Amino acid sequence: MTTLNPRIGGMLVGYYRLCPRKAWLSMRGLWMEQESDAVALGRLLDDHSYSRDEKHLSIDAEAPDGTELVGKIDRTNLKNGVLHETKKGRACEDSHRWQLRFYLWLLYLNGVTRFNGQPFTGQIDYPLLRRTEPVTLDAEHITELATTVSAIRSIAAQETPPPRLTKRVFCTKCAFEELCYG
Amino acid sequence: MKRPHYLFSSGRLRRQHNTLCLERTTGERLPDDAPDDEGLPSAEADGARSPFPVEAVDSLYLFGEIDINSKLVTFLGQQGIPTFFYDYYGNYTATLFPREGQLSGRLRVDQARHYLSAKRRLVLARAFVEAALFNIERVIKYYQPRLAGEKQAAVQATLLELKKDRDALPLTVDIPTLMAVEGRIRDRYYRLWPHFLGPEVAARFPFNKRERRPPSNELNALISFGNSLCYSTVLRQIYRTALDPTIAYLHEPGDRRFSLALDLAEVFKPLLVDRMIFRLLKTGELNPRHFEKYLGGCYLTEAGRKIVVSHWDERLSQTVQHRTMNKKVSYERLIRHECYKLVRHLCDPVGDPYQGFHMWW
Repeated sequence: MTTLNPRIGGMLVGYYRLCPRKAWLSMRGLWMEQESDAVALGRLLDDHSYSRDEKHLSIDAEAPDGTELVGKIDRTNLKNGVLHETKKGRACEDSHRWQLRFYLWLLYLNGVTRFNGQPFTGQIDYPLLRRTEPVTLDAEHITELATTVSAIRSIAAQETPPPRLTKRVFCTKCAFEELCYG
Repeated sequence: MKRPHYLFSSGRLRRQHNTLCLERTTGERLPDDAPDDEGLPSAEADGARSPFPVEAVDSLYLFGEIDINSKLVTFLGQQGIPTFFYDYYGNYTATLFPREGQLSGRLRVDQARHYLSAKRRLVLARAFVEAALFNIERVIKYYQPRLAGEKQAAVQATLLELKKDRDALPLTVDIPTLMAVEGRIRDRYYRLWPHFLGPEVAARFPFNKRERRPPSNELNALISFGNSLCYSTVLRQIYRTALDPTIAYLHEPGDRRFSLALDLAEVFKPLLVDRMIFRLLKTGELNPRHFEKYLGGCYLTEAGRKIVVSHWDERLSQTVQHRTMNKKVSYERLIRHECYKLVRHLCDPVGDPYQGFHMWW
């Protein structure tokens, strides 16, 4: 009965890679971030780091299956063609990578390249750890992202939430913990 | 750490340097129903000024006569601080809510859908009564070993009757019969109170039956005040979730106040309110001096209210080890968990049905 056509953003893709239930709940408007100290710290970190650079660039695109995609990129270095994503720690590194690949994909879908025709690259910055990690987008990632987006679209139409994860490694740190287990 | 602030003084609460400041008045407060032709603000702020940090305020409880202005209201709204107002007699009168913090259209639709379907509504309403009954039994069983003789026999008899009520729950076909069962349960439970309080306290605080609006004697006054604290605490928690406080299941929506808070408060009253009353009376912290009679009713004095509120505040921050999350949670947080359980039920009534909070200690 639901005809949801959600706008899918980078954070949602990251959520989905981590836990589909989290993605479903946040699409329902059941956000849990407003009280999480970890999330507040992350936001503060984003606000206070790299203050000299251009920050929070918004782009949108349409996925091959027609889903509307939106992205808000933490920081860009257009001259060198690098998208940056600032993160607090590496606890969910894989999902961070997918979030950044999603932004690179948005540029790819819009046909945006660097001056020399090369594609953009990405970099995850961990200012607290004083580490950076490069992220690139290849053809396999592109197919994977397209599947992810359709998967998110289909769970958005689901009446009931996906089950909780069976392995609760991440759950104790998740802002949604009490909503799932309280 | 954010926590509720309870203001008993009269005066003026203002926003100052982006934080809160209470400027006290030293004059006596008059009853709100006393004739007042002037409509003027309260007396001059001639008392102490106490600034306090807005970051530490979770919510405000105003028991005194407080002047506020729209600048303060806007500030409280921006900071997401709900403010609860009480009248001269300590009756809850109003809440000032910040603009909706969390909104989920889909959840609200689900909430209404569960109300509109008689079957689904009954499932939730029964769960509330069932949990309230379980917690009531828990309180009874806590006091049972301390009693002897005919008192013990009375408790045994009541427990048997409560068991019958429990068996009657699944058979209830509509909300009014469920409400009747709930009323019966409370009646039986209240009849045991003099036994729990012990002969001395029971002699000082006679209690035959529950009467409200106005409360007829000290114990009724205490129950009313305790329940209103419980109600506002639950409301405070509902407000932090995406639930709509007006759509309720056991109580009729819009009955009076925010009915969903009444539903959830039902579950927590035995643990939070009733045990608080026993504690305060048995330790002698509250005594008949802390009550006064007006207009055919009995009310707590300001000193009495302060005792109750400070005990209440302490009680809410007590913690227990949570069984599934494997960490300590406060009593207040348990109320929030209850809201989340309800959210889970509304999203997935089959896979994740609501089971009301059962005391596990």
